[in-house]
Amino acid sequence: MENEKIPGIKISALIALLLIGSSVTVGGGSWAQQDSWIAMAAATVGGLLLAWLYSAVLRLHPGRDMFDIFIEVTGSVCGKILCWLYVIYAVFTGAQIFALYNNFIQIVNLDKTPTEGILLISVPLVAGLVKGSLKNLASCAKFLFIVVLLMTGSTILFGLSFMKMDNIKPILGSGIGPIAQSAGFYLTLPIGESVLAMSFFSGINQKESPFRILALGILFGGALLTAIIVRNVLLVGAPTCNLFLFASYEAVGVISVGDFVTRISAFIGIELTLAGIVKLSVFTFTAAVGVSKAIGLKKYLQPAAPCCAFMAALGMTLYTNIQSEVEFEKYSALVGVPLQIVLPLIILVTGKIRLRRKKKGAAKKASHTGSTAAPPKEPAL
Amino acid sequence: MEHIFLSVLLIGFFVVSDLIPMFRDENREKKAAWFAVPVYAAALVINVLIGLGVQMEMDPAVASFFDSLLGMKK
Repeated sequence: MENEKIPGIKISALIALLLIGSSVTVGGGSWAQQDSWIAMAAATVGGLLLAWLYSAVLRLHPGRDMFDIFIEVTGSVCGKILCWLYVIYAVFTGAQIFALYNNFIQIVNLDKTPTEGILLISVPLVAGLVKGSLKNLASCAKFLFIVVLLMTGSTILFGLSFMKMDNIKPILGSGIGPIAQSAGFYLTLPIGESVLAMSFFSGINQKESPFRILALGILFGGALLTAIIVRNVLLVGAPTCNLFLFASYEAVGVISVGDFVTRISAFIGIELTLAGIVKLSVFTFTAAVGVSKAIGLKKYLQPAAPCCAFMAALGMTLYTNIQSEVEFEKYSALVGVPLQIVLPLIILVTGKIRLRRKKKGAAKKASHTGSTAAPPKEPAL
Repeated sequence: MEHIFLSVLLIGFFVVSDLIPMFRDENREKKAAWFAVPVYAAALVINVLIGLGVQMEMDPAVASFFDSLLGMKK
């Protein structure tokens, strides 16, 4: 990667927006019903374990991203296969986000606007943002995270008088089973998607702790999502959240402050646009870097535009309708577990074993060189 | 036809702004250029097929695959 050292806080903001992304429109409808916020909070805490796992992988070879580490740890052939696996995961997940993006805009507001019209604007924007370099993307993320934070805070503030504490009771009433099920789901989707953030770390100052950067991002994102779920449940109740595809949009729709503040649901659309663009950029960036490492390119962002165009086209072939998209989420969680937990764990164990063998080998060599001093060299004639 | 027109416009934009400059660049990496061509072609083909009304949604096939996988485990 080019010599661009990015402050860790910007990467944390990028990770937070990656997690918030499309989840900003949903929230509240899960197996845990009114305790969904407890499930999200538990998933956020569980996300810290994932942050530890990913940072341990990154510490195997500091200053390198996950694709370099795959190749270094498992060898050229296996490493490149792993690179392609994560590229496919990034492309597939990005395509899902494109599909959700288009469906949200069409269902909620612009129902007569063709999908391609929306893609004509969003796809070049995402490709341009990624090609502008990681530094550019991270700087945008830092600013946009504050905007999303302020907007969410505004909806909570304006909605205070419409909230009913009874909607969240009885606390833990849905039972530990559904809460654990929801927490497990949230851990893979969206918290587990932070696995793709490992592709950023070759652009970060090596003095910064990867765990701190990942943990901050997961905590910021998880805390905001928990607040969004609490807001939605308090405003309209969990059964109503389950009825709607975009619970946040409907929940915030009940808010009005006299004639001055109405149709505040537009904030949700804006949040999805901002966070969604950043999330898509992250997937495109990861796919581009993965492809570059797999096929051996020096300019690592050259594949960004083709990856983005393909992702957008794929998004139109994934689902029959929005309902099947929502039902398909449970399979996305199944696909996520091997890539978010199992493979990084295998890489960590394999990497540790190889490092230990290297150290042993180097120590043996050093002791052998020390004990048997080399004979003096004869001068050349 | 509207879908095909807009899709061709989108891919055309990328060809003009990304692919052609990539081929014109003297210091280009051949691998990058030759990766981009089939990927853009695939995106165009998918869009054209959707525009012609071909049903190519993957979710029923993938869902039944996962359901049978989980069903076998039970």
